[in-house]
Amino acid sequence: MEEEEYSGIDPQLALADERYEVIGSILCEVYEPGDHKWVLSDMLDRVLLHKYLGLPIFLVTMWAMFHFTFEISLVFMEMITQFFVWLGTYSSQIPIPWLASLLTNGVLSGVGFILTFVPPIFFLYLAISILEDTGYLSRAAFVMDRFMMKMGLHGRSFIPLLLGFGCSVAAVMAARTVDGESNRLTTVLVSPLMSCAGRLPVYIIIAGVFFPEIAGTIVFLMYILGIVMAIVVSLIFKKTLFREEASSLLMELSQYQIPTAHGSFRHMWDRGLMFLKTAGTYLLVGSIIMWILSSFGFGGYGIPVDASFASMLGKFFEPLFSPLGFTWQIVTALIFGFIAKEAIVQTLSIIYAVGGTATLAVALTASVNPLSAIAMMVFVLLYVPCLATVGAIRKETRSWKWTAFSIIYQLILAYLVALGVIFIGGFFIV
Amino acid sequence: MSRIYSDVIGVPEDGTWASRLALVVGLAYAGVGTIQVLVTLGFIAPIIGFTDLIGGFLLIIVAAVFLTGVKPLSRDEQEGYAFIAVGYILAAVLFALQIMVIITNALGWILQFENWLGWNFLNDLTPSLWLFVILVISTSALWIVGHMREKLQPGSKGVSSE
Repeated sequence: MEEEEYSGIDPQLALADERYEVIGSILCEVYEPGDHKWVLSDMLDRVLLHKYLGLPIFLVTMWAMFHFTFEISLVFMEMITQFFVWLGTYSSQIPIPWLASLLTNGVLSGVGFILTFVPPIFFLYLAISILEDTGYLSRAAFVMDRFMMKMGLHGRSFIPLLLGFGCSVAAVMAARTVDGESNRLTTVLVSPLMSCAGRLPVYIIIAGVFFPEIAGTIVFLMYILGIVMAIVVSLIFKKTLFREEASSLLMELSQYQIPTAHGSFRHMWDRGLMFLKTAGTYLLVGSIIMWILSSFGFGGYGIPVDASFASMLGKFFEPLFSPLGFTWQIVTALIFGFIAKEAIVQTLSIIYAVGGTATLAVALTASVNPLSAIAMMVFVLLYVPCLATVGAIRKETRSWKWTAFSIIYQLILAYLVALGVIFIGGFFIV
Repeated sequence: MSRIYSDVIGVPEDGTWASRLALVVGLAYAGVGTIQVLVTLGFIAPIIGFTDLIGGFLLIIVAAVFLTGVKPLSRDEQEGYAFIAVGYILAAVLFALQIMVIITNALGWILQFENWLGWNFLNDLTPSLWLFVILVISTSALWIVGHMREKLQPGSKGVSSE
């Protein structure tokens, strides 16, 4: 009889109903309800999980997080920039020209430049840690779940997606907690669309150069676009590739906690350290390789940057990206971005430094219009995930087919959306 | 955190004044937020500090939180205080954020970095900053008046903890 009663109902929901019925019957015997038994946590949840206010409050929180990340870090970024400029005045005076160029245009313009993004990345991790420690991040998943369920999607996926704000590898690996093979696969495939910390330097430099007045808002909108695209793509996959029923989200929401400074800073440091290690190893090696590619050509060392190997590589693919208004320098940077997203800004900085341009900001303003700059941000947000994420996708899907699919669909998606930005934006931005 | 709500805050059972506060604050945030949106869209002449379109929408969201609490509070339902509390938290977050922006901008100006040479304190006086100051002052005034009334009229409705 009970089977009939629950036929057509999600077994997890039926189980939860039964469990809470038992809890309810026990409580009726032992608990005396009163007017003042409402705890502060319930009180906050009444509003933060509100049917209509929950989502707008989540957006306010997100905006505050990215505004904090961008605006507060600007002055600290400038301090680090000034430090490397000061170092550059010494390294450029080394009497051996190639060594002076390697240290100044290669290492300092590359790794030195990427290190200027340490403050925003650390601040972003601090903000995420605080949100996690308060218990709000799980509520955010709950709020988004309602929205996603309405669209016929599986809400549980939003938890791994939220992890994607930090690192796509973590998001892909967290997808194993999602029920159902199709749901899990969808989550793995859309996780890289969430904007990871590695993409932040690109947004910061472009938003800061082209839209200085609303730079924080632009960065926030890029993260929102990542969420929107993840939902839209999930929906498309759901309607076409995977037709599994949406699963319900059952989660215990712990009570809100006041985060401790020690805990939050500790989490920030642990996560930020990964970025520093990447900068000190892969990006250092990458900057030397990039300097070699930018300084050498078939004519040997000292040729103009336009005749370098980096230029040849960029120019080979440049016609493909000409509708988006990307120069060969940007195309080369995007190719190196496949190794790590942080390498995009580093590559651009080295190419322009070897080319003799004073700063990356000046070079970008001279070579790209604001519309193409937005298209570039969108392309970086959506195009192929980094090598480590591709490895994680292969590991989680255990399939080269799905790994290749992930790379190809993201490339096509990034190109089409960036093209859409150019087309639609052309009506608004001249 | 697991404390009894009314014990922690000491809210009165009569929600009349609280509902009026939520209404006034909500309308203030909604009004200023709307003006900020209209200024940034170019419908109204520029006003110092009203520069961010999204910032205007955020103020409207804060207003919506306060205004949603008006109805339950006017019916003396305790859950209405939840909206005031969350509205307060959101307003405080926006305020604290703006304070940090001012401090870091001032640091850049003191260190005479190029991008901060033309920095003006007045441009950072955004509505999220001064609205919260007004909110704190008005709530404090209301709290003081409430306590004064309570002391002067011992027979009137007291706080729930009594």
